[in-house]
Amino acid sequence: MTQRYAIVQQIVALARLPNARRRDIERELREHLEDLADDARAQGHDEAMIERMEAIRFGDPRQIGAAFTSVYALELWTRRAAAGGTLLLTSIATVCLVVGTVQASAALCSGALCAPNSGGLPSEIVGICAVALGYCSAYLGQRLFSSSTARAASLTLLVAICVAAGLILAVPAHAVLPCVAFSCTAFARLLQRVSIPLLWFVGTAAPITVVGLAFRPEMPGQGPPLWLVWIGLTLSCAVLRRVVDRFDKSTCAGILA
Amino acid sequence: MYRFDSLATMSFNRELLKGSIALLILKLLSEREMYGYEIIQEAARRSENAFEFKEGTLYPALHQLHKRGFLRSEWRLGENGKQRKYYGLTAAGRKEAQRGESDWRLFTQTVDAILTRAKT
Repeated sequence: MTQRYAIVQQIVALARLPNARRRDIERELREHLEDLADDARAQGHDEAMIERMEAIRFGDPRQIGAAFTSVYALELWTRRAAAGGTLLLTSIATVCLVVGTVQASAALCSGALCAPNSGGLPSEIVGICAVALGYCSAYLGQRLFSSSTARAASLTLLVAICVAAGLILAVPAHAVLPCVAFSCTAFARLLQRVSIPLLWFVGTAAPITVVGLAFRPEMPGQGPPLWLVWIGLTLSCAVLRRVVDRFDKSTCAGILA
Repeated sequence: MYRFDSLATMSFNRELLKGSIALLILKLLSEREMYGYEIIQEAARRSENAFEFKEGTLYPALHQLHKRGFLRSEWRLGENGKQRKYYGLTAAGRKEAQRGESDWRLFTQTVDAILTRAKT
């Protein structure tokens, strides 16, 4: 690659842009450089001189990248929100399916319906959403801030605080289990990135164990046994891993890069 | 043709330029459709090389105007058989060019009046 195209590459790499825009801008700037080079050659300048002049004319790639970023910031974040929303809805549907299957299997094996949380169906739905949100927020944190684990974890923590605050305000009596579910799946997602196989099981097991030891006797209602909750969460994480892997390969993922 | 050896252009105040870039682009494109390189050349030609757009200023500005609905664009073959992205004004862009021009004239007349009276 010549210095000429390196400038364009730098600009589009530094700008945070939707993919289609990125390609279009790259093509436009390349065509521009070719015109510039053609004119310079016609005036008798050599290649080294042309490249130097182009660098002067274009200026700092960081500034140009930032200028393009600000032009498309709203579009980019709208697309990101849409992609994130699609992922979240898909994840919620997936968790519904997994948890439903686990509960139905347990009911078939035990010959009795598994008692839901004392909050009933709304509480189940909140729990399922928390499972999906925990996993997705950890994934999105990793995706958006791939170069910084601290920033990725901060995003997950921020979402966790918002979820916990919302639950405590809305359903204070039933806030514990969804918060635990959130922590389990977020923690599991973080551990799934570690190269030790099955280590992420700890992610779902640890928060449940802590809660089981510390709060279970005081928790209202007769919800499902914690081992069943653990199986549901672990299977959900295993399936969600496949979902986000597929998402990674889709065009949506490029938006989150 | 753009002269590479005429880079010693007048150095205008950056803040002064910032507010007028959109107007200059809209005005140039109100006459005919152009691609980025052509806009730079045309601006340099009209100002006798006193004024030149830098690429890093022009292209984000073009994309900003496009995003705001003042410009339309399309890739098509240029005169020398090369694919180029041509920009033209939309109806909103035409109105904005007229509004910008009248604002600019009023502004410069006012500033000029103040400066002239200051001298006398």
